Amino acid sequence: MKKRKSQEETKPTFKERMADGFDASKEMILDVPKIVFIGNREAVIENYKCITDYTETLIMLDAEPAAVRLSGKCLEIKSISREMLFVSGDIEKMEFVKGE
Amino acid sequence: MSIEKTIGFLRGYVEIFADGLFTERFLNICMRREIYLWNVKRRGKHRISACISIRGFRLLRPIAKKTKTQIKIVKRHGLPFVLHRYRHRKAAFLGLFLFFAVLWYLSSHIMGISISGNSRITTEEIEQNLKSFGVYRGAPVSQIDSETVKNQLMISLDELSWVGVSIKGSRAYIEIKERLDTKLLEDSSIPCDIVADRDGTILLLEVKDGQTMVKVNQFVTEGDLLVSGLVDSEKVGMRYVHAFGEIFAQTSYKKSGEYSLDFVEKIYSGETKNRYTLTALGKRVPLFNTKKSPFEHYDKEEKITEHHSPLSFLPSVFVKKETYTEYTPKKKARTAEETLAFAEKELSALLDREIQEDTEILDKKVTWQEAGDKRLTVTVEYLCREDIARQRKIDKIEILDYDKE
Repeated sequence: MKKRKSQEETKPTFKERMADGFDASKEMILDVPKIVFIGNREAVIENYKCITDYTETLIMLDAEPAAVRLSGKCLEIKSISREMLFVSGDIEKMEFVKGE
Repeated sequence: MSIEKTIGFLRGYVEIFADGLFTERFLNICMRREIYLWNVKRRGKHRISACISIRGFRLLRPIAKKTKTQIKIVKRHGLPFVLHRYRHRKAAFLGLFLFFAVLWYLSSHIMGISISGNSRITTEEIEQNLKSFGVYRGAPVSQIDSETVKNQLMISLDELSWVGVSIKGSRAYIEIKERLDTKLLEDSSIPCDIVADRDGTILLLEVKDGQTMVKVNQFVTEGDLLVSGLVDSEKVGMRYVHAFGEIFAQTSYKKSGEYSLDFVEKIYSGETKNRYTLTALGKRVPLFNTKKSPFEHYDKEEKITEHHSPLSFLPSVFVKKETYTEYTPKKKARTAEETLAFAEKELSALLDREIQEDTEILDKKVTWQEAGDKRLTVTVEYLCREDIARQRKIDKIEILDYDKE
């Protein structure tokens, strides 16, 4: 039993539980990005901090709690505004990179 | 074209190249300052391309300086640039403005009136009435309330039983139903009298209800009370009824005219000429170039036809066709008999038009007298037998107090 408990170490935090209770946009309360994919062609990232790297094959975004790394081919930014980033192209991989 | 693209076109945008080592920083600052960028593409190691609105482009200079980025305009899109390119073409702008002004005028004003369903009331009469209610060619559509026009028409024209007014685009459609017969009241519960519709001598009374007030062989004049709707009887006392029946009387119709023994015979040469005049929006455009009459002696006939295209906002065009038929006058003399026969034929034709369809002609009298200098006054008289009953509503009904007794 003890062992099992240690595996489930990512217990919902107080903030998360509160956000659940409020039933509001969770990403705004928690201040984390919200990422929506449409297949592997498009991705919409909301609530990000800034772009740290942008090439045709890689887009790095700074966000809390981990940076987002999108890699693929022919990536382009369809539109960019303060609230959201719309990426299109052939997306192959998405990673969360902690502590960079 | 989507709405976004249309707005983009109207407001204008530019395609730019941004060259620099810190393009990401450049993008981030744009984002922070809420400068909207779209279609951002990587075009090489140190170059990105993007689209930006004109307003955003103006704010770009300090950012470019800060991030040491060079901005280059690749292509300009949208209406502001087109207008800028053609800014010296004042006539073209004027034309464009006029185009929209004319379009606005044609689509917001009455361009034609179609009246249908009228047979006894003339179209001109209806048009005149409509004009006084604000429905005429050139009237603004927005100020016409079809319901009000309908009511006003019903009030001003007595012979109408139903009017439909609909305005479709810039054309008014007036549909009319005329009252079938003014002589008879439809509702048999309305108390009424029967009065004489014409002067005449009573021949036959067929009263189905009501108190008969006249006798056979009595002469009555128009408007005389023939059958009263107020009936007195021993059992019930006084009461009002819907008087009806047929009252046949001998009536007469007369027409006279002066005829000369000398007359001018028209010998038609067979030559005709047509002249056309166009009228649109009250402006006349004659399609001929002369003021002279085409012939020395002619009969003139006018015919006006209305033409309108299926596009209802275009004004109607009226084409007036004048037909001139040439003749050569020839003076001739005729005998009194010939003159009489001619006069009778002409006057009879006029009378035939005047009498009702179901009127029976009993006798026909032709009288004449000389009016000096080879002239005759001819009178044709018809003696007819017809129904002269006309129902008239009893407006004011007094309360009959026979219950008291």
